[in-house]
Amino acid sequence: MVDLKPDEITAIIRKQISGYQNEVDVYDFGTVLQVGDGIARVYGLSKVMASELVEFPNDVFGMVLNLEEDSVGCVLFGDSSLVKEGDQVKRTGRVASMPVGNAMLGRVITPLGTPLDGKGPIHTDQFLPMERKALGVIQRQPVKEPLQTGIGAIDAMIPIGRGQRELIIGDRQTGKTAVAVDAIINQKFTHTAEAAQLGVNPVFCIYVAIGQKNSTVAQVVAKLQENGAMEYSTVIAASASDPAPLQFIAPYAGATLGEFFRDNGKHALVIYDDLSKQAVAYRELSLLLRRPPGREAYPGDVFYLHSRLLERASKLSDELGGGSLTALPVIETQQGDVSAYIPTNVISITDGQIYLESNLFNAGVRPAINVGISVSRVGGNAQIKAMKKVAGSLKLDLAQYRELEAFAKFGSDLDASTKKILTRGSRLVELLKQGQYVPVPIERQVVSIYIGTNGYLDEIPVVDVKRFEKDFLEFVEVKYFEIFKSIKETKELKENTVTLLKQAGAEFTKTFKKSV
Amino acid sequence: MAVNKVAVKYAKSLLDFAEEREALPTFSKDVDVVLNVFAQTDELKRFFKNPIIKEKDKAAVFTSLFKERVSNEFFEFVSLMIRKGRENVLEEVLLSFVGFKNEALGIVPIALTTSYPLSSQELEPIKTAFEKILNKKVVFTLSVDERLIGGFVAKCGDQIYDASLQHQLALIKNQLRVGGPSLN
Repeated sequence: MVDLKPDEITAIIRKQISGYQNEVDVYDFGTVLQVGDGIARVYGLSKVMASELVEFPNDVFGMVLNLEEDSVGCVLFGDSSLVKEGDQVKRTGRVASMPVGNAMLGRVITPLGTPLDGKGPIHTDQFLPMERKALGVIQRQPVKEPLQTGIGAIDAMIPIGRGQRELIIGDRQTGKTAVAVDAIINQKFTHTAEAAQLGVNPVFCIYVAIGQKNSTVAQVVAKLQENGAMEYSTVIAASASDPAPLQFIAPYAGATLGEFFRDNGKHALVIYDDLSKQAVAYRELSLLLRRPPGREAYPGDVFYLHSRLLERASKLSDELGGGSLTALPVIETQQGDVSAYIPTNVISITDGQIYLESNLFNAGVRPAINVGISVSRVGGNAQIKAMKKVAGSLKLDLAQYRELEAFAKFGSDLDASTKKILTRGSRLVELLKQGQYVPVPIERQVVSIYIGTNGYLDEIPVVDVKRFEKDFLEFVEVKYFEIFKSIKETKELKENTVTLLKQAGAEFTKTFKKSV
Repeated sequence: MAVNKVAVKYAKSLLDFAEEREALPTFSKDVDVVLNVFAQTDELKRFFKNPIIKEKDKAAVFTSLFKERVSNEFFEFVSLMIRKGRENVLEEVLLSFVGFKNEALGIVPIALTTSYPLSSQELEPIKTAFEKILNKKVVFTLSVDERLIGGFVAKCGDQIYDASLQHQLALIKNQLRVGGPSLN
């Protein structure tokens, strides 16, 4: 070790405490009357605000939720065994808020903004309240830019626009998180210099994990890191072992961080994974606070719980910088029951939903999106022209296929036109299958769907469809690069591009060898 | 801890009555007498709170203890409470009475904790300072806690004025740990 002179040490210590001011500290306090189950009743704190943060001993924080005649009901964000009856509670004077800033990118944090990843303190200079009122009509404009997920089925048929709220709904183990994570990974392109040239603004991502296993969260973080997606993302984790109040506020924290980007004219994508667990956490603390239970024992304001959160997703008007906050809430259903309380609530709030089904998943259709009942109510305006053009016939072909699918087992007894629809449909379903963590750029999606809907696959056996697609895309990449370039730059499918595509298709079909 | 609603009603009427008769000083003296006894003996408190003991016996005990020491009106007031079966909240009534009285007279009770017993010369500047800040008369309840090391802690209603060395050290510790300029 290098020699340290006592003088230097003194100087450092002096520097460290130079900001310290000796003042009488005046604060409001209350006394804990009762504590248990993550709830504390406090006497005193007469001037406390609703949803204000209060400080208990041992660095436990709480939030005031109930203001009653002679006591205050608080939820604890820490271990309730560290708080005991008679403890002093201090007001902090600020409503529940979290630090926001660019320094949050690449970090894993708690809903209160403290780091969980062991990478040291996060230096931010701004605090924003977690509960903020959603913007009004005047401050908004219609959704107009696309937010590409890199998943063919979604970008073609259920397009999502920046500022939209699109629900991802499905049973357990149907790949809901996979869709969300793919969407995050696909935003990597928007951060490149190439995207900037094409006029695509970067999208910052926030993944809010609510009530999940810590191991699952760790897996997601590892995947994001592996794919270089952590640089523009923040993970907010309130895992299953965290107290219910933390799980309850986690989505609001995510929205607050997203709003920071939005209000600075940037674009953000927030994923709430998942809101059914948040509703359960909210039910727990509502019941403990003795609020009357309603349907399925959820409190009366469980609709407002989600509507006020999802209303915060928005596309700002140009005067306000044109930033956007896109929300992808996730809801887990039980046995495919979408008519349960929470799923119906969230379906009615969002601008569309992506249904994932376990039988599709088990049949090997992955992502297991049921495109028949999935919709996007506003995303169509945001879709690029090229995709709109090819997706039209894709939707039609698939709809016809679904209608006749039941007849497929009759095989050769069918008439020619039915057979044609069935052949086309089965090829398209195969074409829309996609691996996990491999988002496909939009121009490639357009070309794939083009060959599918224009009959180039009809002669190919279903097992070869994926190989055909892959080889064809490579072929185009090498020999007809202008096709990709033109779609990317003009965002349209021009006449001459279509001619080139036809040419490429014909040329490639000749050389493609079917597997035996 | 939370103030009993019944106690508030009784205390308010006692205060109103005292003001009507302009007998506030007498009444507050009487209240102090009873509260003093309560403070010294837990047994009496329990006696009044016990629902098994008959009203008659409670009245008899109260008479023999306080009849000679308190004013007639105050004695009647407590007797009324016993007759109405409200003697279990007697202490709360008296405590809220003191609270209301202080409020009416513009007196703020402050619980002052110091690391060593203060002399009256030391107390005087603190008192003047508080009277200036709060713009009210201040009455101190003094206590000693050596853990403060130095300075004082004043509790005034829901507010704490913390000027203790212990608290200052905690603040410095916190600053050294998280905030402030980094060592590099």
